[in-house]
Amino acid sequence: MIEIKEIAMNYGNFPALSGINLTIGDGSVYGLIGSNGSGKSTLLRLLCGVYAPGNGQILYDGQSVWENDKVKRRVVYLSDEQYFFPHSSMAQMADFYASVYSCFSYPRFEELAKRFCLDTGRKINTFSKGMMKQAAIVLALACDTAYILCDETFDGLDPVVRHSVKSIIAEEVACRSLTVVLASHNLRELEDICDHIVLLHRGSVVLEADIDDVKMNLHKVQTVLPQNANLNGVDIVSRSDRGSLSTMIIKGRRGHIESYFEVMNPKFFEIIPLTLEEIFITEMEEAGYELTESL
Amino acid sequence: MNLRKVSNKNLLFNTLGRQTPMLLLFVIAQLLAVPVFCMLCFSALFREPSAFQTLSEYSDYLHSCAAEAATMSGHLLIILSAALGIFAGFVVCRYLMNWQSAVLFASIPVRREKQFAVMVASGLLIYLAALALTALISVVIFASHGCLAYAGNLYRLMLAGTIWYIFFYALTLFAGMLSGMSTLQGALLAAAFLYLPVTVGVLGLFCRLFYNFWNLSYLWEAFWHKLSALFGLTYYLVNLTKEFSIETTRFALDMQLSTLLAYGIAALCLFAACIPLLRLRKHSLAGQPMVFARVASVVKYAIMVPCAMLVGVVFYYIGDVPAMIFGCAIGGVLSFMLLNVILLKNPRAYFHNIKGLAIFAVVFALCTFLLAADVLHIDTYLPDTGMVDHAAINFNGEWVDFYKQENIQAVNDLMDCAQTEDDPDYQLPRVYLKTRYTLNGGLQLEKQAELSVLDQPRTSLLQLYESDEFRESVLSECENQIFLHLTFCTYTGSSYEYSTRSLDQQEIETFMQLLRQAVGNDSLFSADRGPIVATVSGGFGPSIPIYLDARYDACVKWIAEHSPNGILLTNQTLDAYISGISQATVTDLENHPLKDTSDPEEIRELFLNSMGLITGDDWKLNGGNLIYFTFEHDSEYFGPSTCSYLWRQ
Repeated sequence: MIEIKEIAMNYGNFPALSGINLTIGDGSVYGLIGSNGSGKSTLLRLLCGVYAPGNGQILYDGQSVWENDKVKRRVVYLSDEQYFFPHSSMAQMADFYASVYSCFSYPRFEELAKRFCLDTGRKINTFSKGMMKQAAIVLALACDTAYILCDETFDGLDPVVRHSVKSIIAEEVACRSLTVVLASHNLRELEDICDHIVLLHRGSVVLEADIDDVKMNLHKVQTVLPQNANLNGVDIVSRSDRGSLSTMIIKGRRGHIESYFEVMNPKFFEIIPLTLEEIFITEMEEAGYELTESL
Repeated sequence: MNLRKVSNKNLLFNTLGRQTPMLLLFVIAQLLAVPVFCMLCFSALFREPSAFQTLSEYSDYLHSCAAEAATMSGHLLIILSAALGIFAGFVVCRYLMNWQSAVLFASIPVRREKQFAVMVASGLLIYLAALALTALISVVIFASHGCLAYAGNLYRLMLAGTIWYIFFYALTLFAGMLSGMSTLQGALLAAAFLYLPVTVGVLGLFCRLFYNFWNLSYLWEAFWHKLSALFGLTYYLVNLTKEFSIETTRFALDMQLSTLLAYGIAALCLFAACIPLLRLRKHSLAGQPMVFARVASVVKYAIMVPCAMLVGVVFYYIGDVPAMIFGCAIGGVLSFMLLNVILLKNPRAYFHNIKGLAIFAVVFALCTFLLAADVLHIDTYLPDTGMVDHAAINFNGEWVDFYKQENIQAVNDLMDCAQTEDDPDYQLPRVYLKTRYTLNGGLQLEKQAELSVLDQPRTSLLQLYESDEFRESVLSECENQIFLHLTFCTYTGSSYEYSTRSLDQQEIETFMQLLRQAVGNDSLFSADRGPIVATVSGGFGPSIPIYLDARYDACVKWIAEHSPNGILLTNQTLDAYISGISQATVTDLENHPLKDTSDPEEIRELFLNSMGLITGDDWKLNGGNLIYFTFEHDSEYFGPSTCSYLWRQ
C-alpha cells in the first residue's frame, strides 16, 4: 500500500504540489489525470524516489521511499521520456535492469519482447518512437516489481499496442496483485483500465474516487416528459433541453431513477452510460472548477 | 519468485561493460604512448648496424636508447594521463548531465552514493587495466632488448601518470558535480586553470592604473611559482620545458617524492567533496548549466569582476580615469548579462537578478572609493622599521637588499616623500621606485611609486647609494664610490649610448655645484631642454637622465676639461665598436650622399670626428650642418645592426 501524506514540492518558488493526501491500495490501478503542469509527473517522481519531497511523506507499506533501496526494489518507474544508454540494445538494457532489480525476469523479458515483436538484439536508437515506448514497457514489466509507475505511457502507441499493454497490465494486476499508477492527461486512456482516478489541478487533488462508485451513482438520462412533470424527487446535476427532449445527469441509484420516471409515464426514457470524461466534467463543475481550466 | 542477489558488483560489471569503448581508447592511447613509442626508439638501432664497430659500442647505444625510450614515453604517458583523466571525468559524469538518465539512475534501487562510487571505480579500473596491459607489453619489449633495468624509470613515471590521472579525474568530477551540463563542466574546468592567473593579472593591472601605490605583480609571481603547482598541467608543462632532459629522471623523481603526494591528497579531497555535492544535487536540475544556485551566483560575480576591470583597463588607454569607470560599468553590465544567459540557459534572462547587480555595483563603487581615497591607509601604509627584516629597492631591474635600520628608514623616507609630494601634473622628471619590504614574519609587502627628484628624496637616495649594502650588492665590481655617470648620447631622444664615464665623489660634488649654478635653481630639472650634449644619470636614480644642453656652459666646459677627447668610450668598447663597422655613409637631410666608405681607417676617423660632441675646448653645438651618419655594424661584440644618427658636424 502506498500512503501519500501531506506531500508538498516546490520548483524554486513555484509550488508544484501542495498538501497531497492519497492512499493507493495493493492490486489497484490508479489513474492520475490533470492538465499540463498540474503535478502528475512530479507526483510520480516523488512516488519512485527521484525527488525528495519538500514536505510530507511517501510510504510503501510504512517505509519511506526516499533513498531506500529496499523499497525501490519493489518499484519501477516508466518515465515519459525514456532513457536508453547510447547505442544499446534491449538486451543490454535488460542486463542493466537485471543488475539493479533482483526480481528481473529474463524469460518474462523475452516473452514480452516477442509479444510486441521487438528484436532484443537491435540497437534501440534504430527503433521508432512507439517501439522505444514498447521497449521501455517491456523492460519495466520484466522487472517484476510490486509497483509500476507509468508517466504518459500510452502516448505514441498505436491502438493495437495500446490495447495489448492494457491487457498485459490487467493480467499482471489479476495474477500477482500488481499496483499500477498511471499518469495521463487523457481521460479516455485511463477509462478502460483504472479502478481509481485522481484528478490533480494546480498541484492539488481536486477529486479522488473509485470509478465504479462514481458510475453507479451518476447517470445520464434522455427523456421526453409530459408537461408539468415534477422532477423534485431526483438529484439533477445538470440538464439541457432540446425541443421536448431533455438530457439530464442525475445522481442516485439506477433503480430509483428508473422507478421515479416510470411513474411519470414519459413518452421516451433512456439511461445512457456516462463516459469518464462526462463524469469528471460533472464532478468538476459541481466542485466549482471551470472545465477548460482543468481538463 | 526467483530472486537473484543484486550487488554493486553487478552494477560495476555492467558499467564496465558499457564503458568498453573508453577502455579501448585508453588501451590504444597508452600503447601508442609507451610500447609503440619504445619500439620505434629501439627500431632505430637497426637502421645503421654498420655504424657500430664493437659489441660494446652497440651495447652502449642500446642502453642509451632504452633510457631515452623509458623517459620520453613516461613523460608522454604523464601528459596523456592528464588528458585521459579529464576525458574519463566527463564520461563518468555524463549520467548526471542528461535529465532522462539522471531520472533513470535516481529511480533505480541503488543509492546515489553507491552509483557514484561505482562510476568512479569504473573510471579508475579502466585506466589501471589499460596501464597494466601497457606495462606488461613494455616489460616484454625492454626484456627482449636486454634492457629490463630501464623499465624501472618507466614504472616510476607510470606511477606519476596514475596520480595525475586520478587528480585530473577528480577535478573533472568535482566540476561535474557543480554543473548540470557537460559544456559548463568543461568551462568550469578551464576556469579552474585560467581564472586565478587571469584575475590576478587583470586585478594587478587595474590596481596599478587606479592606485599609484598598489602593485599586485608579486601576487602573480607568487601564484605562478607556488599556486600553479596545484594546477598540474600548467606546472608540468612549464617544468617540462625547463627540466626535460633525456638523461635525467629527476623531474619524475621529484614528482614522486613531493608533488605527487600533494596531488594524491588533493584528489582524495576532491573525491570526498563530490559526495556531499552529489547528495545536495537535485535531479530535476540535470541539464541546467549550474545545479547550485548559490554557486552559480558566486561564479557569475567572480567572473564579472575581472571582466569589468579588464574593459575598464582597455578604456583607460582610450581615455582616462572617467573612461575607465565607464568601461568598468559597461564591462560589468555586459558580462553580467552574458553570464546570466549562459548560466540560466535562457537568452531572455540577461537581466535576471538585476537588483543583485545594482547592490554589487554600489558595493564595488564603495570599495573602490574607499581604496582610492585610502580610507583604510592601505596605500600609504609603510611598516615600522622595527617590523621589517629587510627592505629592497629595485635599481635597474636588480633588487638590492637593505638590512640596516638606518637604510630601511631611508627607504621609508623615500616612499614617504613619494606619498606626500605635490606634483599632480607630473611636471618634474620622475624616478620610478619599486620597494619590497620583507617583514619579520616573512610576509612580503611590495610598494611602487614615482617621485620627482627634489632635494629631500635625493638625500635619502644618496644615503642608500652611499651605503655599504648598496655598494656591496650592486657595485661590488667598482673600485670607486661611483654613483654618477656621464653618458654621451648619440642623438636627442635616442637611447643609444656610446660612452659612459663614472665620476668619483669629488668630481660629483664639483659637477653638481656647477650644474646647480648653471641651472640657477634648486630643482635641477625644471629648466627647459635644449640640444643634448650628454646625459647625467645614476645620482638621482637609475632612470633619471639630466640632459645637458648648450646653456649649461660651465658644465659642458667642465666635461670638456675632464674628457678631452669628448668621447669616453673605453678602449675595449671603442675598438670593438669601430672595428665592427663595415660601411659608413654620410648623407644630408635630403639623402644626398656626402661620403660613403668601407675603409676601416676612414670609418674610424669619421666616427671619432663626427660622433664626438666635445672635442677639447671646442664643442659643436652651435654650428655646422645637420647630417646623417649611417654605420652598418656587424661586430660580434654588438651584434649586427645598422645605426643612423642625426648629428651636427
